[in-house]
Amino acid sequence: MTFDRFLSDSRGVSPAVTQALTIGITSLLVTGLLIGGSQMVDSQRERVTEEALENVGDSIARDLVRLDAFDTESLGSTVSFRAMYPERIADQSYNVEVSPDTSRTRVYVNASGLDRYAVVQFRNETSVCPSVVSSGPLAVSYNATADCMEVTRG
Amino acid sequence: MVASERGQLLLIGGIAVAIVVFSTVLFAHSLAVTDGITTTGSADTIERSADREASVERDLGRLAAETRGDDLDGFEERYEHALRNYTRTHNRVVATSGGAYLNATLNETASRGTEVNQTDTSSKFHRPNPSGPGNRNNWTVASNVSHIAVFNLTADVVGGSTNAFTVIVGNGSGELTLVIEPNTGDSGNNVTVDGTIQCHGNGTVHVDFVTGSCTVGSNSSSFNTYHNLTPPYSVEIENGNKAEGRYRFAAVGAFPASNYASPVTRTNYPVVPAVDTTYDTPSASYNRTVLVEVDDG
Repeated sequence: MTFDRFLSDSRGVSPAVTQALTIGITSLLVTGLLIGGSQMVDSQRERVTEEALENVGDSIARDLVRLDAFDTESLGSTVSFRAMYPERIADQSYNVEVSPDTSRTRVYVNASGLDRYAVVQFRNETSVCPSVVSSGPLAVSYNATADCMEVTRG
Repeated sequence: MVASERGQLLLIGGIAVAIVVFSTVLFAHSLAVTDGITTTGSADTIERSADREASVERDLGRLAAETRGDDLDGFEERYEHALRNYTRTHNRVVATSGGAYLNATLNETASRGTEVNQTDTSSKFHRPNPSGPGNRNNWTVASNVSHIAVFNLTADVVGGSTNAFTVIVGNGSGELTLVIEPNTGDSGNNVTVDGTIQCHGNGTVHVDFVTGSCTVGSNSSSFNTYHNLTPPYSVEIENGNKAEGRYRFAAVGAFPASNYASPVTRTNYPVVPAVDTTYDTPSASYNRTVLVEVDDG
């Protein structure tokens, strides 16, 4: 008698079903939002990382070009100009590599943790010493001893 | 509110919470990203340093011109004194506002220029070194001259109506020819520039090639000098035995060693002074040797 009555008794069922449906639908929506959002954030992070690396490379190249026009031939001492660059891009550190070439100097900014990089090239008259520095405050310098421009830690 | 509406409320509330959380994540992320791409390059700092240097170099040129004036003697000492005053004033005015300290001193070794000076009035204008090459009366004072600071001469004795004493400033494609000779009609002297008599009178002849002026006795005049010729120049004297007097020539150029001997010797003179400048700014400290273009204008 007790089990039959329990099966046929429908009192109090509606609120429970409503709660279950509410929680289920809400979970589905939130999950969908999070999945969609995270994909969007990932793509945005990649795009912005590339832009940020290009930005850093452009800025360093611009500094070196301006230093090249600073009449370095008549400088009697080493001179450094310090500049602020981010420690991390998209929560990842990066390296800046400046390498001279026969035709153009190349600034290679590499965020290996994100598998992203940017390359900026420019022409210069003052020679450039090869240099590799990690992210953070940097300085573009004219090294009077070696008679070349270089990038150092700021 | 009835019990059946609680579900919709919970649903809407859950969605609202999800949107808020999601928006917060996006906002925080964009902030982090924006912060990540903010860079402050040093190009502007270098630009400001270059502007500051250009301003100082203009001042040094003007200062040299004012210090030199018409008096070559003691220029180095006077210019060094002027540089000390300028540095003191600059640092008092500029350094207190921009934090850029300057030190400027004359570097005589790196300065460019040579001076020859014949001071004996009874000397002819022939080559000072009698054992030099070729005809002693026709000789090259200097060649490859890029800048002349001073070139004046005084002729006390003028002789020779033919093959007269001549000074030529030329550049290969054109030249200024200045002849000092006795006038054939009276006892006076003529200064003839490119075939035209510019000065005539009785007495000593004074010529300033830089300003383009001549005086014979009490008569003065001006003429178009070599400034319309493009450097480098060569400066030559012909028939130097036809006049006697003094000359002073200071320029940047090649003064042939074989042409000069005591008492007319070549000495260093800062026609283009070299100034050692040291800049000490909050962003950079460096020094540079500047060849000062003397602003005669």
